[in-house]
Amino acid sequence: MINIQIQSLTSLADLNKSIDDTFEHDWLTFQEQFREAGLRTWIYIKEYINEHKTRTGGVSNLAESITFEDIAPAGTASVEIGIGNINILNQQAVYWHLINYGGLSLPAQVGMGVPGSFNGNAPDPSKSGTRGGTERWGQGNFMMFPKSPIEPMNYIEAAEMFLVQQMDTLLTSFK
Amino acid sequence: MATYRNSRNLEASMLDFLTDELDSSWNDVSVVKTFKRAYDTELPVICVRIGRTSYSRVEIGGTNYLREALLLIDIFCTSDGQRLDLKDWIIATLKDGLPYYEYTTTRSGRTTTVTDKTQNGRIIIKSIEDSPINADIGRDKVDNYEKFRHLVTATISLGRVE
Repeated sequence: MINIQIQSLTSLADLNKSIDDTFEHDWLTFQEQFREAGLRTWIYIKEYINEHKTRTGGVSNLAESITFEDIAPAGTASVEIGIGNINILNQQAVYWHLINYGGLSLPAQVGMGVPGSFNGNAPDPSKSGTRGGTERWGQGNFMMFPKSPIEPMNYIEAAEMFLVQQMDTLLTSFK
Repeated sequence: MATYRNSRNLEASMLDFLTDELDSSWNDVSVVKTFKRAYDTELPVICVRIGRTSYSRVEIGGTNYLREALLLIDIFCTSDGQRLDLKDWIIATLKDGLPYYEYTTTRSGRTTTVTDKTQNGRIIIKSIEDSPINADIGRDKVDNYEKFRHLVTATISLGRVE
């Protein structure tokens, strides 16, 4: 059994002073700049998705579905932000997980066909699995049997790396 | 004769290192460098990729930068225990860094072959983390490659300006 000994306790009233002493700066300023770093990350992740999407056509539905949320706004005892809400993504961009982590889509896993067309045309079997296609699979009566895995975009990991770099810069500026 | 540029050197160094280390510690674990090839390779298989790369200026007025790359290691296993053991082994193996090689290739017809590699520094692991990749539906309903997946991500650097 491991014994854990409490060395000291900091009351909530002293918390702001402790944080000020640590950062040698105003806590509120830190909170505001942290939130701004979060906002920059939110913009970054949306741009990243739009720049890396394979299919042609407007703005990515996935990028549009990623929200920025103030969980605990600046000026309170803590600052917490959320980038991307899983409940919203599950409703508005159900393939967010597959696009980020890659893998076999459900039809590919169970060998199911998906009805549709490429701009009204049947899929070209010679291009199957080449990853060269950029057209969207839209309405139509042709059948496609996806077999290849979806290449992961890893937009979450890219955004996390971006945020960590922002935080490194921010914390360095407070030293 | 040609040479790989930095990103390919990083990726190839990582592939070589993991392949050598796996050979001495594990049986029958393959290492590939493209996601699609992982699905064409028998389990268990590890896929090594370099993702986003950032370039930070090192001083005001200078043009030199520091490169940081996102390393992505997808692990596809045959059981939950193997998944956990393999990801822990990868993190323990990578944490101290690894040799960085510069590769030279020779072309013959349409075939390009690596003919030489020279160590030029080490790859530093700045941060590393891992997370399980769970399919939205039950494991009994998904393909074998989706059942026991894990993702190790790391920020890597050569620790020198370019």
